[in-house]
Amino acid sequence: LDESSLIQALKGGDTTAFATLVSVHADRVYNTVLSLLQNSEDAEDAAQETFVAVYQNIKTFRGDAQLSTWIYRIAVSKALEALRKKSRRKERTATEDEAARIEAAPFHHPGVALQNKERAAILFRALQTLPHNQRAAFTLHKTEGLSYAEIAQVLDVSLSSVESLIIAPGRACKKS
Amino acid sequence: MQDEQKAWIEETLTSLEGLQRVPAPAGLYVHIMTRISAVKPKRVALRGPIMWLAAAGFLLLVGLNGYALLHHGADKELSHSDARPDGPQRGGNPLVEEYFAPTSIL
Repeated sequence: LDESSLIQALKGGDTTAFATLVSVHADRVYNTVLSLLQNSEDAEDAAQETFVAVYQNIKTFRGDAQLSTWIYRIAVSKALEALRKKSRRKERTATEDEAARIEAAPFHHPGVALQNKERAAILFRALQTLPHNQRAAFTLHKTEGLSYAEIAQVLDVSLSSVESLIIAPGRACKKS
Repeated sequence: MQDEQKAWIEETLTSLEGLQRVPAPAGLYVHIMTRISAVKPKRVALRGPIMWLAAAGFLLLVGLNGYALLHHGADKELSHSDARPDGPQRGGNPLVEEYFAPTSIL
């Protein structure tokens, strides 16, 4: 199936087409939300929510952007939503010790080469301190290999904004 | 020392290069379909007492409006006949006359 036929089939409620869509985009979505959330359970939950949203909103997809861009946009939005929920939960956490324990846990991305594990963990830790849009732009660029133009489409911002969003995290990481 | 630090920073920033994609968890599709089938259309259910209260409020409003209209109409008729005993009889709705007739106060 080419993309337009797949979209038509999805709009018609074809579950086989939806299964195809999930199999094609599952890894991409899961890796995006995993890098953003830095937790495999949260990532699985966000990936599921992403595809549920795709299934429910496919009729509103106008085809202005590529389907993958649209799915990335939903995935990033679901991940950021989960991050916001998590930070609210942290604020409500009863003991400071528990909050410190949650923050202290380093994230080891399973896809990072062995020799880079420690440095990548430091980088992921530094990313936690960034505003969500910078975190999203940096992650999409570094882990998903998206171009600035693609990131601009996913985050619905201008190209120059993407450049500044990606340069700023580099500076922040150097400082930290 | 500074060069070493710079090199370390650069290596840290580039530590994600060559990142391998992790396969999505097994059974993702099944979990998604379970979630989709679990989502039911939202129904707005009004509780009995609230519905009765709303109906009573509406009836009271209609009743008060009706009463005001009739009562005001009777008063107006009386005041019209008092003010202009020999004047022309308009014979229309007094409420309408009050709002749309040229005012004599000004």
